[in-house]
Amino acid sequence: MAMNDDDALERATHAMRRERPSGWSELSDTVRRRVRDLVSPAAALAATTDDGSVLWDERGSTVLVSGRIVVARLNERLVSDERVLDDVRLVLDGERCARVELDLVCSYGTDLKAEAAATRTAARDVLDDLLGPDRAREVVVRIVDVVEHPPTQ
Amino acid sequence: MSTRSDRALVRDAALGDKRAFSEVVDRYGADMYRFAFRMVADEHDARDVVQEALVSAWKNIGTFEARSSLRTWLYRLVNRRAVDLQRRRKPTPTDDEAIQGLLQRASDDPERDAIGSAMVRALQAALDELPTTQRAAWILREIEGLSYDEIAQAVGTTPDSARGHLQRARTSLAGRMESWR
Repeated sequence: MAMNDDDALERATHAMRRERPSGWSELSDTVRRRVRDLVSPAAALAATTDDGSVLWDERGSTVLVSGRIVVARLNERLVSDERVLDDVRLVLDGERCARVELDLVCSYGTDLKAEAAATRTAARDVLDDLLGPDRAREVVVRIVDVVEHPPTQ
Repeated sequence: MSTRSDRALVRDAALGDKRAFSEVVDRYGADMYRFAFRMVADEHDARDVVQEALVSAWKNIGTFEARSSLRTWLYRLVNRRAVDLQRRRKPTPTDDEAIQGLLQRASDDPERDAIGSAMVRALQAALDELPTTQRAAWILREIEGLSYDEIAQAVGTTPDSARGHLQRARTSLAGRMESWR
């Protein structure tokens, strides 16, 4: 088929757009595994008053706490023989931490409601300690799995 | 499928939300991989490039300042690593005879392979011979569909310069596809 140079380039370009290299699925799994093993990045969360306002001192300064510290402290305080944190998500409203979502894995036979309530209370203590009391801050606990062996294993 | 905006995903990932970052991978990873593959012309190398780019994105997502779109920022991370890899592994040849040899081998092949596939190989061979910035500009425009401004951000140049790189790439590629007339 006769074609000019531009046609040839156009046809080859069109064909190239349709082709994708193989192996994306395996590659994306590898990336997720590597990210899971890495320390989380850190964003800053502002200390707040009990009504959720960002806390400023008389000199116009505020205290910012790294999200990495908050997540690390939650991990330390919330893990027990009966439960482990599977994931922590900090949801921001500006610099204020408006909601914390905690995914738990619990051991089989545990009173799940009691574990969720204890987790929520302990999480509020950590958040109040690090970021100040904020009555509007939500703590959402989800139990995402129940396992027969100790969940810390 | 998540409806979280790119901005929300970046904000949440910067707070350590690995699921948010996983959504970023789902949303843009396959396109990053295609871009990397066309830049380095080797699946194994393209996987290395994309892995390193995405790990870097995770580590540095807190520094992303939304001066560009998330997608453009991710292409930029891929481009840097692809260019680094090319610098380490091979010089960019400029010998027209070598290029013609590659294209000739490709154009001798259509009886064995579908013509479209052979043309893609010929085009890839021609792309491989372009300077890396021209190659990146052409792929980002013609395969990934970026604007001139986005290309400029992804390759670290100005929109006018990106337009110039793209024009030179088009001219070279059209010439090098001459054997398909």
